[in-house]
Amino acid sequence: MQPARKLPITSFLPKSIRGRYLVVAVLISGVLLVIAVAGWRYVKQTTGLQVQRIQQRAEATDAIGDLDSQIRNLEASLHKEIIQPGEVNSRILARHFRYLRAATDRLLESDWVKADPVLRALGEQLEADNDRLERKVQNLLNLRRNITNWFPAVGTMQKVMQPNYQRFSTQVRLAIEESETNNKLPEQTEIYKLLVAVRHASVRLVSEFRLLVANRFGIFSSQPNVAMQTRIANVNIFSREVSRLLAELGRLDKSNKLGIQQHESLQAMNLSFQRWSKAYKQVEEMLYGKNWRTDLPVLRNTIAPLIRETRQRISTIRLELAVGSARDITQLTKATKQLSDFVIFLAVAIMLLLFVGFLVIRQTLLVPIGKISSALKSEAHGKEEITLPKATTDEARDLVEAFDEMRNQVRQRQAHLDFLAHHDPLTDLPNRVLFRDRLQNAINRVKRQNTRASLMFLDLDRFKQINDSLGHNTGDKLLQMVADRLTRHIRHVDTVARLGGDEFAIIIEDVSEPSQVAIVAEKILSAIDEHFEIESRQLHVTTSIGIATCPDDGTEVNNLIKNADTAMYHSKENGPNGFTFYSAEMTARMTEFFSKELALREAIVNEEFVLYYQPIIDAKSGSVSGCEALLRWRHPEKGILAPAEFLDVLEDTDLITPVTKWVINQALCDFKQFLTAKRSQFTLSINISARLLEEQLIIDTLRPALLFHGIHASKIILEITEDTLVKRSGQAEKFLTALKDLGVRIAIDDFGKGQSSLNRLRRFPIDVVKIDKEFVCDVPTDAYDSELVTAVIAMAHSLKKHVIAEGVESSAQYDFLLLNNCDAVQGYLFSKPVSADSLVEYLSERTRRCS
Amino acid sequence: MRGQRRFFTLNATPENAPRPRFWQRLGLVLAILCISLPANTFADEALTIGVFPRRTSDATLKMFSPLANYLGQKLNRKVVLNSAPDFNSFWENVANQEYDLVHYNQYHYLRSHSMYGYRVIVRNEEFGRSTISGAIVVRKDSGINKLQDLQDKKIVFGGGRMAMISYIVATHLLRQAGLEEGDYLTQFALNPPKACVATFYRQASAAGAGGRILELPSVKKLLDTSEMKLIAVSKPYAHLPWAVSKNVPTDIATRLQAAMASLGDSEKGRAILKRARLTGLVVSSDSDYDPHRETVFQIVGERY
Repeated sequence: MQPARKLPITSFLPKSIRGRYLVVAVLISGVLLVIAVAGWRYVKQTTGLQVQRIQQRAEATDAIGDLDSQIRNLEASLHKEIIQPGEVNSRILARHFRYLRAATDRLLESDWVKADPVLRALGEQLEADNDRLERKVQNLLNLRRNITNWFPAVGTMQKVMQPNYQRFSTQVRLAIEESETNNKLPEQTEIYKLLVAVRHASVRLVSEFRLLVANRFGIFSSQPNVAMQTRIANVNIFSREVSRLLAELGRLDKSNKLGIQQHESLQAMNLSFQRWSKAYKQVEEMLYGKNWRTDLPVLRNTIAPLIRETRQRISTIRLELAVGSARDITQLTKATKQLSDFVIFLAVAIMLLLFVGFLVIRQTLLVPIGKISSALKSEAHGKEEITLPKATTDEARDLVEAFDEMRNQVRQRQAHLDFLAHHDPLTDLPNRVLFRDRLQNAINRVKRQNTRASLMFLDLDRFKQINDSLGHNTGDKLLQMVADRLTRHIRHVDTVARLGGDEFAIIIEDVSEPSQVAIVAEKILSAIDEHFEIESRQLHVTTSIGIATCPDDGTEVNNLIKNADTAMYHSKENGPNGFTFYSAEMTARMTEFFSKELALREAIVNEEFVLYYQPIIDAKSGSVSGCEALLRWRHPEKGILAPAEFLDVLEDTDLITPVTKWVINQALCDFKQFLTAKRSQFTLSINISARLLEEQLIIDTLRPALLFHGIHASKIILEITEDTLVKRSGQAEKFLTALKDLGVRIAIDDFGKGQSSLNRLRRFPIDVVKIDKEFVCDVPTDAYDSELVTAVIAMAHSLKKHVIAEGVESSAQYDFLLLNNCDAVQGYLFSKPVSADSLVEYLSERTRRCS
Repeated sequence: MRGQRRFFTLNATPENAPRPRFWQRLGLVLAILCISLPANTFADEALTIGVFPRRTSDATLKMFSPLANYLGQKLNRKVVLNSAPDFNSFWENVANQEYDLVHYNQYHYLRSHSMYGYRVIVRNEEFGRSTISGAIVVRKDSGINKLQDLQDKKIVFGGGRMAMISYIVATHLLRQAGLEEGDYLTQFALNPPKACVATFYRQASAAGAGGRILELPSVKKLLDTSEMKLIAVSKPYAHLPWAVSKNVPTDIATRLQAAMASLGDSEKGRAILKRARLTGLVVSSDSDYDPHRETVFQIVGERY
């Protein structure tokens, strides 16, 4: 078994960014969820705990407030009891203790105290203190219920001093009464005085003592100790006075001067006074002592410390409550801060996460995309060395693969497009673009190597007819076969290109002599001249070749092409199946051609064209049966020019179209005048160019013109040369049929000049045959021409065609034609071509002459 | 009743000296019997340890039960740990000589020594120190840097007016600084840590407590001690005392003293000390508490 390899953590991640995104999103969502739940629970617990604590503290605070209030009430009631004792106070105090216990119980029962053992212990101590305090207060109240216990001196005063003083006073009174009874005795006067003095001194003594007691209670002075000193001094004074008086009485008693009652009273007084004095000393000591009243020490030493201690405990609990509140506020603040910090942390974490995410996306997606983008640019710039990024994710790999596939396809398409751009799709030969490039290269090599290169321009003869008659497919196949033959008959270093239509070009390099090129041209002509078999049909075409040589005929591409093209046109003019080398005269002729074209265009604009009319004479009656419209160019410098001067240029350019339209409209317009001047059988002949057979122009122009001028179509004869019928028989048949449908008549012009065919006369809807003037001019002197004209007239008549002879210039000619039943004649014998106005006059003249 | 228990000493009086040999021997036997009788009587009774109830009864029992057991083994007698529910009960027991060995604060010791004849034999060593200072603690951000700044401020003291270090000694520091009672507002917390907590939470401007209060782990749990500082620390005072009743024979007291002072010498003893949150117990005498007497007199006005 192989040892387990430690896989990197990334190996557990999905390969695709979508998968990784899902994993990371789930992880982050999970973490955020956990954090959110934890935060929610933390806040809930914290706030819940704080709310609970606040409630607990509120409960405890309320109990503490009650405690404090009851303690204050208790103190107030105690003070009241001290100042104004009474049974009501006892009940009030009992009620305060009841409330105090209830408040303490509430405090002990509060959750806040229950939760803290120390506080609970403190509360229990408070409860114990309350019990102790109640007991002490009850003791105090009990103490105050008993006056002797309350004020210890009062007992002595009541039990000893008061009875002894009463006995003393009684004895003094008895002794005084005896003196008053025995007042006649001399010694009684002194005794009486002494006894009265004793009574007075004792009364003052007791009064001072009473003031002493009153001072003790602070009744007459705010400084009881000072007042008491004075009273005590007075008590002592009067006590000594009483003692002295009693001693005087005792001295008189020893001398037996006192009566019996007085003797006994004195003995009793001494005894009572001694007892009173002794008790007074005790009372004086008590009144001066700390415990002169027993309630105050209890209050001061027991109750007050207990209350103070209770207050201190309440204060301590209050402090604990305040600390608890402060701690909770601090914790809440801390929790809030932690939450704030956490939010900030979370924000920073998310930012970091976004940054890390960006880095990851950058590393896994953007960088490969950037590299692929660079590769695309490099590819676009055609660089060969392109490094594709290493794909780490499915998406990047797909992108790289897509790019690679796209690059291959683009390259294939580019190659294909390049081929299409530089080759003819039909023949796969180089097209004009590639041809020009190769020609430029050939010219460059000629310049470098000082050699020659020839350019052949080929145009297939009659290709258009083949194409029109046999269809485009046949034409295309023919072109392919021609291309194949051309390719096979040149060297591989030479270039055959198709420039468009039936035009081909061949670049032949390293030419030393023009004869070499001529040989090649001959070979090509021979190769093309052989028949082509297409769809079981044998076709025969020829080609015309124009040849220009570099550097003799030009060292620039355009120049060389133009010259070869010119040569090719000259070759065509010279007849099919030939080749022509370029010469400078060709250029001159072409220059003339272009200058004439320019002048014709200006002529159209300047309306320099005019129509002349040559009358057509009915041969038998000699009357004017019609006229032929003949185009003339009123040249500003050369005067009136015949069509031979410019018709070829018109037909080789597109100028034939506007001119033809103008001719039809103008001729019909003029013809309207002729009809008013002549009878209604009068006809108008208009020549139609062979170039226009393929177009709808004639019909589209003629029909509205006839309607406009109100001319019946049968009065119009359109003349088409026989040569046109021969060369474009396909188009001609269709064209002539359309014209016949319009109602006009058709005439074959220049009949006999070309390849006259009986079949053609029979096949086409021809109404009139016009015998060319070349045949007419030598009759009747030339036998051949005379027989030919006679045969043509006979043949036409046999086909029920009307015959017009042109170029009749002599009476002999007219007579011959009349003799051979020619229907109508036309020529200088009757009238040369004249303007429309002149024709009108001519017609008027002829009418007058006939009448 | 414990208070009626009688102790006998080894001191021989002249009256006990026998004259003839027989009587001398008989006297010696009787003397031995007399000596051994009360000792045996004391030995038969349990030795009671009282601890000042500054903690809950359960906590007090948990802390000092190992020590009580240890002393029982050392003295070969039953040792009872008494945890009074409140101070009044505790002090009543002290007054009634209910405790043979009692642990309380210095102020209580001075009173019990003066009033009831208790005598210190050892004192606490906490965190390696057998002395403790009083201190005034404030928040660092309070702006209070010296004691005079506490004029008209509220000061919370740990414990009550009988707390030796956190109230009496701390108040002594204030008096030395010229602050008399009434120059500041007095407030009491349950204990010194709670006084610091109250100050930490700004319920008071300063706290009176021990000089090492901020180093206690229990305090560090309650507040951020880095935000607190000491602005005054007193001279060191002898730590909390362990005193024996006047009824405890000297030899027993000596044996107790030896046994307690040697706790740090053994692993078992250190474990007992650790349970009691101590690092040791050091031999101490009454004169070690003379500084306390002077300070108590100056602050409380009581002369012991």
